[in-house]
Amino acid sequence: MTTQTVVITVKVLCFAQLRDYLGASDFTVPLPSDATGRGLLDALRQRSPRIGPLLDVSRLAVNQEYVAADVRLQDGDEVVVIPPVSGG
Amino acid sequence: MTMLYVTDHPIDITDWRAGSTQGLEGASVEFQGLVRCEEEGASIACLEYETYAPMAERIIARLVEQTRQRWPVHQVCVQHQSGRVPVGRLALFVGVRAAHRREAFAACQFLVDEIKREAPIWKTAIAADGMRVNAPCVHG
Repeated sequence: MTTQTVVITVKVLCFAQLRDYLGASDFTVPLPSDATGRGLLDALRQRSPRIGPLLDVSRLAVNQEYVAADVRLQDGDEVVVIPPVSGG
Repeated sequence: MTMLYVTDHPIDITDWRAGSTQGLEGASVEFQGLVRCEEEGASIACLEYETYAPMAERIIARLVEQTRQRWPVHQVCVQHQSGRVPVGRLALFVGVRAAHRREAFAACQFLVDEIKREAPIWKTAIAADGMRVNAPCVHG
């Protein structure tokens, strides 16, 4: 019997400095089926360790609503990583 | 009545100013957020605003609803420009009309503060040579 790791895929949107650091504005990230927003942030840190301080002060939004980092992510979610805003 | 736009066109408040007040509004408070000529000590030519427009409009619409729940305001207008806004031009406009000045001032202040705190909008300062001011170093 084989054991398969169940994964979900979320679409990530990045803006401003975060996009500059990551070099892409949207991409998909595979995560374990029980992944949370915090797990996604950890996955992003592994892509570019330099963005850790920026991720520490960023917020998450799922399907255009702000969420806490412990939110459980679902397959197909659109997750926006929102660095400190500066409108107005 | 609520007017709400996040737009890449220059802000136009003509319709807002022309709006009939039905004689019920004793106060009309307007905030005009203008682009200053310096940013963090550096001389600039413009600010470039990047928005996640669908979410920004959703957030601002909710803030307007919260405003209406807290104060008896009659008319609200919020406009934020995206893209490049030259020095001296409008980047954000918030207008509030109410029966009395206290709720109009309070509601306008609340909206401006919360939009700046919550809306997914980011600014980048652009110098006269077209280069970004204080751009992050993304190499190495």
